[in-house]
Amino acid sequence: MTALAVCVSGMVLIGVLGFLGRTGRYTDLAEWTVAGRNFGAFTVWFLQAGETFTTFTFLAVAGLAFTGGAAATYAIPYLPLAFVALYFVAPVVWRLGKRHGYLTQADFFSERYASPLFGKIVAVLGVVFLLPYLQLQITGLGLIVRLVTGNASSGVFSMVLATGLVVAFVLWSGIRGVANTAYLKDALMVIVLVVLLIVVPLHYAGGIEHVFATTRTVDPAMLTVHAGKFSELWWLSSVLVSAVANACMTVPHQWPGVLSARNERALRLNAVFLPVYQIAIMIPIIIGFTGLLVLSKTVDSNGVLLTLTAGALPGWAVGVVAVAAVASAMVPSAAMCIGMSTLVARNLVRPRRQRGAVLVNHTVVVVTAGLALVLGILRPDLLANLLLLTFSGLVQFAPGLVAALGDRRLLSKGPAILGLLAGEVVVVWLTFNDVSFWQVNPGIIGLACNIVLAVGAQVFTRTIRPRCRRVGAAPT
Amino acid sequence: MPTNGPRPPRRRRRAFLLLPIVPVLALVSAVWLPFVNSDRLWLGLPALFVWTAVWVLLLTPTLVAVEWGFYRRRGAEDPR
Repeated sequence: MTALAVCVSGMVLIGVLGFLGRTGRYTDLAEWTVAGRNFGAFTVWFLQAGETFTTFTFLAVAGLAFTGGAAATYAIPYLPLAFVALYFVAPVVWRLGKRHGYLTQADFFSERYASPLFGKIVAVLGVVFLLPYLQLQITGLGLIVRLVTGNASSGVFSMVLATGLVVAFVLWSGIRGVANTAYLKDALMVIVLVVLLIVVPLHYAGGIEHVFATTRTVDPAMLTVHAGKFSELWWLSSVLVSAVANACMTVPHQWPGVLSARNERALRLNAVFLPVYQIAIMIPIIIGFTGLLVLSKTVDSNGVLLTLTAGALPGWAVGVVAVAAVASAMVPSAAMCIGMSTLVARNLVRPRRQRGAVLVNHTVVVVTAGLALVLGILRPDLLANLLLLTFSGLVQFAPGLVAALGDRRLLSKGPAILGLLAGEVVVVWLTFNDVSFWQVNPGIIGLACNIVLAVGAQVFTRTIRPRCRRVGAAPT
Repeated sequence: MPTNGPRPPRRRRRAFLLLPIVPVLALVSAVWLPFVNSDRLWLGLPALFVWTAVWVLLLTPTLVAVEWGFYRRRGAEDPR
């Protein structure tokens, strides 16, 4: 009961902070989505960090360490690797965004390829792949509350409450609300993770060193990445697909954060220091290893972190941990709502008047969040298959983005669209038919097909087709 | 912010851009290095943990070096 009270209070506090983020009256989408491109490095840091640490960090990484041991280490380097690339990519995107007034990812494709159709394709795919990710956050939030209270109905109640609060503060404050909540979320998360790092291994195994020394004696294979379900190729391809997806800004809700920066230097500065922050992901992995020693294999892997926490901390402290975990669902959910709604309002529906765009945008926030909530409660497995496609599907935007970053485009719109669609078809086919090539992530295979087809089509259109035209045009 | 000293040759400035390649290669090759992907413990932690953590931490100094050696020396001013 104490944990539930702390949890609900925390959710309300996050909602209030989101409301307080608003600074004035919003008359257009640019102010609501990217805050007039006026955020300094400090705020952009929290926006970028806030988007990367989600319920996945809290629940799934510890769960993967519990089931796959060292395989979970794939989660340590992928974001730092992405930030190395973002150090160079994000300032270019920001510069283009400022020059051409981008608010969304699809704006980039639409403008760079002079093709509203390309923009629409990217917008549709972005929403389709991001919706299951939003549902995952809401479902994860319900799971967190259910685990700490031991009550299923409180899980559903918290899902409804959190979604309502997120929708309300997103509509009221836009990205400024997300930034305001991100400060609390990240501060709370760092404190909670450090406490868990000390308390959980000490309580169950006598300390971190003992956790690994015992694992080495009992099950040494868990300390290595080896042949099997989580092979070396699985590890590398998982790192690469997630790193490329983030590095090439293929995730729609990355864009408002980057475009809201005041200058390029703020983005470079964050890319320099954000890798250090990602080290924190080692903590859920260490807790997952602790679970490996003390919990039964039948325990739900996603519940390992909270199950161990509940056994080691008093009720109120478990509530605080749950608030941090809940915040890691609410803040990214808010960013996702903004990412998806602007894609629809700017690139799909495109009302002529600014007022109409704001209305469509706000309606989409309510509809997408409501849909994710309803499906999360009634059919939590319905979007589960689509979730498998989220990163492997989104990463297919990467070649089209990279090819259009420079002053001279490397791909024409036809080959870029062809490559993108081919990549998506390959990923869908591999995923839904459960076809695996040496445990390589389907996203990487799709990406290879994407690049080969796009480059092949580009070479064809640049060399062979003009020759055909010349031959056809010659008098006979 | 531009420095006051003489600008180094472009080739030397561009060499700074290659610095992050070292930690990137160290990270993506981690599971293929037998002394890293093994059950031995370094400082009480699995070798793979320590290796990835150290190279992730080294990304920051290499990017600081790029910022200092390439962008600052180039004297590029960000538009505000």
